[in-house]
Amino acid sequence: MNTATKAAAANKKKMDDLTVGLCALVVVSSGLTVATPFWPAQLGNAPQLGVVLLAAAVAVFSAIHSLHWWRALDEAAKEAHKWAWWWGGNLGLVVGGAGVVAATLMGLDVNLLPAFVQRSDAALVATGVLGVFAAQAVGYGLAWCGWWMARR
Amino acid sequence: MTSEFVNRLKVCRAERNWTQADLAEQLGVSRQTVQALEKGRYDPSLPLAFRIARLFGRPIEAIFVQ
Repeated sequence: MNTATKAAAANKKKMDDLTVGLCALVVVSSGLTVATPFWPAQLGNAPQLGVVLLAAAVAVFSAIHSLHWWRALDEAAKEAHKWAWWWGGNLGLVVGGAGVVAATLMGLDVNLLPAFVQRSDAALVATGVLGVFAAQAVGYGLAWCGWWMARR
Repeated sequence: MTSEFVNRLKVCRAERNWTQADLAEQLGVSRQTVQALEKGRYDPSLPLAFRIARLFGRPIEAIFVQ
């Protein structure tokens, strides 16, 4: 086993350990049904402590997992992602943003809100932001595929 | 998209009867990366070029020719 293969194996083990840790935390968190202490009153009723702990753990897990995932990629794969992030993401942002602005200026009343969300200005703005994020994601995906297709 | 270098990666690999996957594993990269390198559509970084040269026991300039 050469150095690069050893490094990849070590990286994979770290990711596996993290996954096992997260699974253990899911079990522990499911038992913590007490209300979260020090919860700000203006945010409404305090959720269960287990839920808050699990949400925080998932955020930390995602960040660390992403770091290891990125380190495990080879240089061409990293280049593809960087290229897709810049070109695909930015073009998607421009196209998606233009679409939202155009829809607003034309007064289009397209209701993309899910049934359980009450219609409000904040909800509509959030929908627009999510729409632009989605356009960015599509641009990213297309650019990523294009980068690899061009190098086949 | 084509590199300004010509490389002899495919020849070197064929001399050892390695598949692209074999070479990729030895170098610690993906098979797609090896494919892009062989087709001259991706220029490797200097560290990767040195790894390739070391793996084949040749100087870099014997593998990557301008």
